Amino acid sequence: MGRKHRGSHSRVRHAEVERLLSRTAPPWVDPSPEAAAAIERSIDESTQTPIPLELPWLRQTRWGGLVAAAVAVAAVGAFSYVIGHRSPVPTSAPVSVSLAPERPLVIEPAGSVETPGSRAAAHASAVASRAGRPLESEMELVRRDTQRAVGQVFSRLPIFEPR
Amino acid sequence: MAGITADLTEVAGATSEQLAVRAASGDVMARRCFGELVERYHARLFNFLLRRVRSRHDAEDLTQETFVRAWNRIRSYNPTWRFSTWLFTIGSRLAITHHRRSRDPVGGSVVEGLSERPASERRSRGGIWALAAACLTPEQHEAIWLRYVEELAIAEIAMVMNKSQVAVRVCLFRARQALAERLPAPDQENVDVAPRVAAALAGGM
Repeated sequence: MGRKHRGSHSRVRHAEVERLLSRTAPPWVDPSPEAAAAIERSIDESTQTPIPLELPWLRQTRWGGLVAAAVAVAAVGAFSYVIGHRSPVPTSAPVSVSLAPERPLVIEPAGSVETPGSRAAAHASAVASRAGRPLESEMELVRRDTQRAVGQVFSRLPIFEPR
Repeated sequence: MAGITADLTEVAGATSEQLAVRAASGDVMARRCFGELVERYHARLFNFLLRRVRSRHDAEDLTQETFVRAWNRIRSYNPTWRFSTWLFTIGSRLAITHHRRSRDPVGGSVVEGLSERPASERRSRGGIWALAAACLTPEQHEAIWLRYVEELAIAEIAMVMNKSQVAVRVCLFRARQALAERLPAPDQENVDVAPRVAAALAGGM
């Protein structure tokens, strides 16, 4: 009973405090008239100064730093990939024609009769079909060099350092 | 000329949110709209910040800094929130930064500018607010100021104070409870609030 009485008394006091807070004006201090003029002046000054470049998508997310790091890593990866594929990769030594297979693989139709004349003709046609295209061994070297170049780029990043 | 007059009438009659959106649009009336917002909120923001930093000079500096920052970031204003909520949020954050910089505790015992008046006058003018300034924590005082002076909703106070809505409700409840405990109960001889507040303040606040 007493507890109920105390609760009801507390609610009455809370209501009274709430009513007083709502109805009583707080002590008010008027700002100085110069302050308003100073605000207007500083706003005008800030309008004249260039606003620095802002990246709102970066500022508005809490994971802005992580997103920026992921974008940076992706950019480095894409750059390395493009550089590895587009620019000429220096090879250790120029590929000599002598490394090319003596005789390219030519699938001859079954049942054909091989004569010295037909053999020479087949060789000439194989050389002609290969003209302007890199040899297979050269392609392989370019591929390895690209992989090495990309590997070197990533190996310089601290997270890829060997333990 | 008639167009300019019509625009000025429109600015004076627009809501704060409409003015803020217009200011964010960056058209020829943007600066004028923001000037109107400065005029409307200058004194309110100054009084809010004065209770936070307890120094008239610092409060004026912070008020100016708040408006400059609001102007520079007006494009990020979200019109679903009231302009006052957004502005007071900026002001509150700047006040926190100010306290960190000056390494003073948030709030103090005497508000410079208010303390220039005699104590009896302060009590009669402030009433319950004088008691609140004397016995509440700075956080509780900020919460009841935003609730009862600025008339912000709980969600808006939570945004300004960077707290959850539950935390704001608890803070408001404790503030009212502290005031209710200190304010003497009315009796038949002493119904008026001012003498009761004066008695509470004289009783060791």
